[in-house]
Amino acid sequence: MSSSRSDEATPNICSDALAEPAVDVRDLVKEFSTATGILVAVNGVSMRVYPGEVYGLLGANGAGKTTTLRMMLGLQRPTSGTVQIAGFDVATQPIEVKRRVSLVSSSSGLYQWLTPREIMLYLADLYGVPDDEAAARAEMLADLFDLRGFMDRRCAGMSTGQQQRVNLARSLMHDPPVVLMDEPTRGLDIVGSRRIFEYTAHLRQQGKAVIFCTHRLDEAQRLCCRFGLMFRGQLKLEGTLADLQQRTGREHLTDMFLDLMPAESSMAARLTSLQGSGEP
Amino acid sequence: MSNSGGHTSDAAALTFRRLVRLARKECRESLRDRRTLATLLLMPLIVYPLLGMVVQRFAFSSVSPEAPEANVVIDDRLSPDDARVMLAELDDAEKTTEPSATEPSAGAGENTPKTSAVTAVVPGLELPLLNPGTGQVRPQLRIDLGSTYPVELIERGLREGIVDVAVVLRARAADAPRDGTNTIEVLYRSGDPVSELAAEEVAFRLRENRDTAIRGLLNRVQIGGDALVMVRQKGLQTARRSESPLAAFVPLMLVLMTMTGAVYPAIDLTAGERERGTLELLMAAPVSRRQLLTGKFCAVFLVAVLTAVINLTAMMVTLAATGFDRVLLPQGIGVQMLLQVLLLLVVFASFFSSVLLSITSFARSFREAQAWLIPLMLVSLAPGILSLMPGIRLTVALSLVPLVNIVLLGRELFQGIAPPGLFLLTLVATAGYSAAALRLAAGIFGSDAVLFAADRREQQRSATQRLDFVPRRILLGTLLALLPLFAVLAGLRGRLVAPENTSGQLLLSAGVLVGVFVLLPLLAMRLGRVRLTAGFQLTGFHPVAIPAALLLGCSAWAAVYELLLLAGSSGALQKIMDNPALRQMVDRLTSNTSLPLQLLCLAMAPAICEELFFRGFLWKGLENLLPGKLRPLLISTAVFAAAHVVTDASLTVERLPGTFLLGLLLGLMRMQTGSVIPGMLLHFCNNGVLLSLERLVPAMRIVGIELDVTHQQHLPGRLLVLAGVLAGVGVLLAVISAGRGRGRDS
Repeated sequence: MSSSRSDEATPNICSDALAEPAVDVRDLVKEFSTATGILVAVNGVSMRVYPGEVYGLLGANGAGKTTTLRMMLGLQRPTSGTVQIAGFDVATQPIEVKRRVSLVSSSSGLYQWLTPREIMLYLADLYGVPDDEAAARAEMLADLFDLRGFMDRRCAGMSTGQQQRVNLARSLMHDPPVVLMDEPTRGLDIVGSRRIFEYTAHLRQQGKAVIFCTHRLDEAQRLCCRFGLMFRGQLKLEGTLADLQQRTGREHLTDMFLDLMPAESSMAARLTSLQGSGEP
Repeated sequence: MSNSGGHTSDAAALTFRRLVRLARKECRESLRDRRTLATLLLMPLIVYPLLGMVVQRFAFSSVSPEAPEANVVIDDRLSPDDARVMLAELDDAEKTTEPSATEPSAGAGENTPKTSAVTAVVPGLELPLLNPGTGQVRPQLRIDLGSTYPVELIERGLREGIVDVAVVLRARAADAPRDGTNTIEVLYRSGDPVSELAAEEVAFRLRENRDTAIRGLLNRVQIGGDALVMVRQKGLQTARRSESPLAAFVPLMLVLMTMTGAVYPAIDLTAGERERGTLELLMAAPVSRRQLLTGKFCAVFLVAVLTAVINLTAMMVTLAATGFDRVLLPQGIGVQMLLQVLLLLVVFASFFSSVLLSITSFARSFREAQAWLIPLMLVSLAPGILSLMPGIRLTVALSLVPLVNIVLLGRELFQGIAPPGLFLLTLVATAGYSAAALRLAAGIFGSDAVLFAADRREQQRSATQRLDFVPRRILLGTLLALLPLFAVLAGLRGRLVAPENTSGQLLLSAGVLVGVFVLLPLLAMRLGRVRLTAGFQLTGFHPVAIPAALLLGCSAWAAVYELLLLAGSSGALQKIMDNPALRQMVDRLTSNTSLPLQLLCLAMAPAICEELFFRGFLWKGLENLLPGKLRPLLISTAVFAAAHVVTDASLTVERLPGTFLLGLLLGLMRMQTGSVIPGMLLHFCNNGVLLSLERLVPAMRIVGIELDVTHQQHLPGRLLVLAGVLAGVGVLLAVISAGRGRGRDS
């Protein structure tokens, strides 16, 4: 991004807690039928995210973060529970919800035969942005994400960094109040990761509600206002860093998370049990 | 109110504009892709000329074509001796190539050297159909010199194909001026290449022999030696057309090329979205899947149509350049035919685009999509090969069979014999299938099953665990194998047991049912590690389902019969009675066989096998594939009814309404009870009663019921009341049985 780099420390207060939540999740449950029985991927998750807040939804792989995000987007139907985005219920008003949410994901790709401008205008059209407004936003975002040099060049052959910037730009074409970010730094180098951090800070400054999903607890600690730690489908801990530090007696999120894991699941514990059983 | 009306039209306009933009983006993406362009442009520009050159230079020049034979007869005003002289074959040295100035142009044009004599003999037909030895292609004329015939008989013989060419004298009347013109007409059949070629040869010989022989003839019939004589060729219009297998090749080529053009964009715009990582973005956008898919359909359809048009143009240009157009299309290509062919291709492109999209929407990757499409391409070849067989014509029934209808119609359009009614029927049917396929695709594209690889249930099981559902690959693979297996087994049945061995035929028919509807899905489920009781839905049920099935099975036939009568389908019933294929099958299988054997093979075997398949395996697979409870019911019923239309080697479409209703009843029973077992009983009772009806007539007479179903009379009132009561109680019991049964559906 061409805006100045932000070196802010993790803010303690990111949002106006008196405002209505932009995201309101209540008792969300998702079950899958398997050959062995029912798999509960998300088990009674509740959380609220306010405008101007970056909420870190954290957890290891398989904790249920991505499933939670998908239910918020309306891509998967919850088994039970409700999700409201900007006052609209995902189950009953999915189109209205989708208009107000944007997804930034590490697995998102681009249309190789289209130019960034064409992609951005296409997505603007999908989200119902009027033509003149879409054109103006495309120009603004091109400046913001430094896309001028290749705005009208087909995406095939672009570098990873360029593709990432196009992805970030297109996510803001419809100016959504809520942005969901699913492992956005996966596979990125330090430059790319920094770009994500700056982008997130920009979103917060714009007053958007951001849910930042990652298993990189260290980077989340830098970036987010509040945290929700998930483990095996449940939200085990939630609060600001200070709240969590006070509650758990730990300073870092990594340690707090490790404390959540059952003792017998750690490798050290398993090795110890083997030693104790006399196995060679 | 006016506000809401304006609102609705604004919304519709918005939706349409959005659809146009969605389509524009998909088209832009497809047409920029180099692989699409290669298929669209390069292949027709290379393939057709290359093919034309190969055929022209190697295929025909290496073959010594046998000269076609033509039957020639003469008018009864001519004598055989005269005919022998007039039609004598000339030595090459005696040939002249100067046409007469007074004659209509049909004669040789220029004075060409002997090596190019073919162009002189058959002017205008400048085909290098050369025999390297003779350098000529001339038909063998079988001239009937033993008899002469009146003109009316000759013309009739020409129209019916008995005669290929006739020589008729149209002498001027005796009292007409002496300087009038006498004409010897050479009659031939328009549009028949052999007849036309033979007429050319006959006319040529007549002209060459005219001065000597024909003048002598005219003197003998007292017309006068100085009377003008013209030799004129006249073509008779006839419904007969020679069936050129090559003409059938043209629509097949066009169909294949259209398919080839549409395949890549279809895969790229569906499975390709997932591979690119753009599918999730699309699904997260506030646009319905139907709209998204409509945009994709427009792109695939556009590429398919462009491919068809470019291929058609390339083909026509190549045919004209090589001269094959006169062989393949002797009647020429009119604007009307061209427009009809284009319309046909557009409708076919629409159909194939939607079918492709519905298949590729299943796929999670490019490779998987290609794997799914290979069988489709192979299956699509079959109708094309069928169309190459002479004697197979487009009929009403075949007009409803997808792909076959297109190819046969294309062939008949090129031959100029396509009936307008069947043309329209084919277009409408194909458009209908296209819409249905598109709807299916919209339901599948981007659904959970594709988006999140949610046969995840299959992926999460361990190697030893069995599934309680039928994965889609198992279902689709079984369905693909089913028809060929049925065809093979049914064919073998006829070879293994003599037709007069009706008991053996019955047992083998039952064996075919077991093989196709039980063993095949069983094998598939074993391979897919599906629990057999779950896959066949052999689950427990409420005991009251048994009497429900018994009662409904004994009364259903009456309800179906009356419904068909009341719906005015008496014609259909009569057709069932009079259908020779059906009667033959019924007579063959039920005469000289005992009732127990009939019940075993025609009631029990179908009941068990068909219920296991249609309401068990197929239903279970559809549940996994499509959302909702009704779709498995309706689709399995439709497939069940369609399967019963095939009777031995013919189609008995008349059975469709009755079997559909029965299938619906069986499906509802399965839905209510959660098991296929009550349905088996119902099916058995239904078939058993129908087989036993004739034997039941005396018993019914005892209780005062006179039964006569062969003359489409309504059933006796008492019987209707009895059937109604039985059915009513059966329905009630079925509803009661639902409480326990439904919970077992996964």
